Amino acid sequence: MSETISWPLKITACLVLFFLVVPSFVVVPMSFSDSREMMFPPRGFSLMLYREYFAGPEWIAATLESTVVAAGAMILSVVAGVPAAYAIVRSRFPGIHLVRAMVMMPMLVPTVVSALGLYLYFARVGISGTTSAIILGHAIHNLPFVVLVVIAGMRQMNVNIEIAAQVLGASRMRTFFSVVLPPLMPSIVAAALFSFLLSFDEVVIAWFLTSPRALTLPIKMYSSIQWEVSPVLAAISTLLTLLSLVVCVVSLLLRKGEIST
Amino acid sequence: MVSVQGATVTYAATPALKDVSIDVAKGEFLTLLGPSGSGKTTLLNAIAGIVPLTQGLILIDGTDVTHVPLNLRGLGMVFQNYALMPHLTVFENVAFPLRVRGLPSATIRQKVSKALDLVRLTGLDQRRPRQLSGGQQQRVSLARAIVYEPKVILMDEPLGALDKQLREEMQVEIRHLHVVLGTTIIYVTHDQEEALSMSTNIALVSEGVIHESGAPHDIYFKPRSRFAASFVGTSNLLSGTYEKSEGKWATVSVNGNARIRGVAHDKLSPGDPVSIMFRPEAVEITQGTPLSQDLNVIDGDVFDHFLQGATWKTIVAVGDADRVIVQRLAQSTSQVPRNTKVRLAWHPDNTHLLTR
Repeated sequence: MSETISWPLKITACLVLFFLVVPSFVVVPMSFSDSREMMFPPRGFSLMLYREYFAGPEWIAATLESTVVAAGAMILSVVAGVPAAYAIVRSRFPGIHLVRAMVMMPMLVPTVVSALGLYLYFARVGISGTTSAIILGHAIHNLPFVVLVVIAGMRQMNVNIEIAAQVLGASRMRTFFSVVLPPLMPSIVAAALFSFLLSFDEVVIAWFLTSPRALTLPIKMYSSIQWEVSPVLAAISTLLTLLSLVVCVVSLLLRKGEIST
Repeated sequence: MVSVQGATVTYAATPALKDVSIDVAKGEFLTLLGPSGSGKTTLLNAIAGIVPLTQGLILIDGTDVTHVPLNLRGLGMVFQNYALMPHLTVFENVAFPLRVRGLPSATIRQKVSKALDLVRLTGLDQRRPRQLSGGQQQRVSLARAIVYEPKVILMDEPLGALDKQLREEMQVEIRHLHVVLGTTIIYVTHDQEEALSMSTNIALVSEGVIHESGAPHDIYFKPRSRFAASFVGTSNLLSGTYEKSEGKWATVSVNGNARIRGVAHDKLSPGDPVSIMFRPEAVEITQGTPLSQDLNVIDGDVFDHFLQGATWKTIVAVGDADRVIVQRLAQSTSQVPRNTKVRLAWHPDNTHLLTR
């Protein structure tokens, strides 16, 4: 395929890629600096900033909080999203388009708007500022992404296999768990990883729903940059980038496995 | 064994099946034969419970199952695209119906290996479906349908995705399974040769109704409708007017002058428009006078003449617009060049009057 792409196009593509990626990677060399100031190019080399991050109890607390929130949001969005995707692809009742639109809504409504709505709603219910509130907020926010990824996986599955399973004696539940879910696992894992990642560095919703009791990592980073530009942020950003990279590679590998089956 | 009574299926106001009734006896091999979109698959799916009936009843073994969900009907089914579970091994695919029925694993092992032996897949039980050829996958699908010994097995164009040679091989195999197991089989196909060679009974389906049903021999040699005559095998159909009946034969005038005799199956009165039907292999080409006075005779010009495998096919122009196809074994016939004047002769017993 590479034969058919002309050189000017290749160069343009590389430039665009460079433009998109470089800002994220500028922080990587900076994170290994031995200076207390953020500067590029960095002078010297040390792991000082990483030590500072791992030794700072408030950083670790925020990281743990983010992990709990992301894991919670991931579980909720997958548990709700997988059956929703199955229903959207397979059921034929007249209102299914409406259901689909509702499920996709969080992706279409501006995040600020849904964040504000969630803030007002959770305040009324009396759970604002808690970890559960952020988990719920993120689960709603992530749901459409999970549903989209799982729908894409479902589309490759042959409905006749499910019908065959039922004719051969399996109930609908049994069919779902032993015929639909196993081949869908790569898509589900990919969706779960994305959900985790989306939640882990989500700022807007977390900002509205957070409190000193439940401070997620991105919020902690953002508030720390307002007082002093701490070079630790470069180390944390590098670690976050690494996490994203790992998730992307893992989900790519899963997709590859899925296509080859 | 299976009884369909007044089955109607309507999709979005268009009827796919119109008031269809049919009885399938125990041990029968019934083929639903028809062109695509005729409703044959809808009928099969209705029996399976995949498609709900708008009206009518379905009885299996005397029990009304019209409202029984598909997983509780206890049928076996083989699909055109195999519908094997891609994540399971051959063994687990075949074991699936036994697992959902909660059988002990020793019994499962024994039944699965027996079923795999029957479809000649011994030793492939740890493969995944995608490691098998199309024919092998369909054998797995067959094994999966017979493993729990259902009373009725439904097959929806099971050989449709296979190439010709493999298809013929599998036809023999499915016939063999039918004989060995004695199961009732309801088979859907649009391939008339497949229907003729495999079934004990054929039901011709077209436009949502069963046109005609009967043993393959009768459907082929004594069709009762133009649809049956033209859909099953090649037929010569000439239109004419009924004149009279004498003894066992009825006389029809064709093209004004020729008198053709044949077997009438319906009550007719003089002047009724009818079609006469006779098979290409029943016709003999003579260039002199026929040997017997009993034979039907018609004159024509050779339009085309070519070899088709084991037979010569000769197309003869008769009258103004009609063509008669003649098919004779290649060894027994000499060549007839184009535009030769020929006389066609065939026996009235092989001629049938069709009114619908």
